[in-house]
Amino acid sequence: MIDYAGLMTKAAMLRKKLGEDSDSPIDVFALAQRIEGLSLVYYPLGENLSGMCIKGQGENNVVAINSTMTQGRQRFTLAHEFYHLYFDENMVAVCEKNLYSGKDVEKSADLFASYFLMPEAALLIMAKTLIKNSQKQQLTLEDLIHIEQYFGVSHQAIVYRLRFTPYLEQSKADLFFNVFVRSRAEFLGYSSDLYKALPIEKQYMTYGHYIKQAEQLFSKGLISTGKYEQLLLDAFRTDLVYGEEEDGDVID
Amino acid sequence: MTNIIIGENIRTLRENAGFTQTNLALFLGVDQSLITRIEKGERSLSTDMLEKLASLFGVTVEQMEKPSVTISKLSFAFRGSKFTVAEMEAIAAINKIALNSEFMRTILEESKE
Repeated sequence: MIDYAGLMTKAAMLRKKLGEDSDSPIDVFALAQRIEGLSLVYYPLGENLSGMCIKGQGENNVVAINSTMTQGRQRFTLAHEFYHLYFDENMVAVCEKNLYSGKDVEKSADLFASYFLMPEAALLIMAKTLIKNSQKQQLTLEDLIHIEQYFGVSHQAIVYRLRFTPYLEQSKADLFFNVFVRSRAEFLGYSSDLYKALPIEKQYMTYGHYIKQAEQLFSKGLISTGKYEQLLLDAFRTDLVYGEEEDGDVID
Repeated sequence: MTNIIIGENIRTLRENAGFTQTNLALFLGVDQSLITRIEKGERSLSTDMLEKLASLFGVTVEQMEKPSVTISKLSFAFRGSKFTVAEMEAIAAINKIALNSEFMRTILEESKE
């Protein structure tokens, strides 16, 4: 049994807890960096997996995101993992890429992610306004692109969510579900970042708590240089161990 | 004795995660009959393989060597037996990060005592 209303409440509660208002788009990756004790790992998890969540002791948590998915989908997955982090009693979750399938806890996490990134009231107001402006009965593909760009989520996540509303009938939703929207979005003046994966050099990366922990242990002399480097290399931070081949910092 | 304990732990952890012996054999790049013998405690594992398996199951090597390992908290969206070797490697890599993070937390706390 999926408790839709309960999930909506949970999404609203977590927004509040993390210092977000109740209806604006969220920069979910920036938000993740502010969560105490959370390590965020980007990793190419393959064709079938979208993410993982591993809860440790003392708020020592790890969330991994499949870095080969589009950035819109990665944002959705991160919000999905928040459900496991805050509301799932299992300590480890390995999550499948297919939306709204599998166990109830996975479906719940998908719905939660949808409500968390696109609060119901804000989404419906936007849908109504777009329909009013276009003077059509239903949302068009362009409308959907405007909405996904506004909330920063993947195309499929938007179609899935709106198919349950009067603004997008089932047959249209089925049609729009598998449409490639990248070039359409570009012709509407949007950046196509949402529809692209991360550049290859960023597909293996760890941010957040883990790096701080290693740094702290090393600076207190609790681990050797070798161990420190090993810990960073396990977390794919060759850049911190060997330095980066870049032009250096820019101050502006 | 240790072989028997490790073997039993591997079987428990493997079954709990829904992996088959074949899954583990492919993951470690060994013959399936070796996994059978390891689980029966008839053969020992190399340190390298033990570490790889510990990462896959998300437990420390020390835990693998203790009698009746605490059932790991692994919950997969689907049965483990469906995973490819690449996916098992990915899961092990992420688990390794979580284990390292736990290790670092312990050291930091001990240093405060």
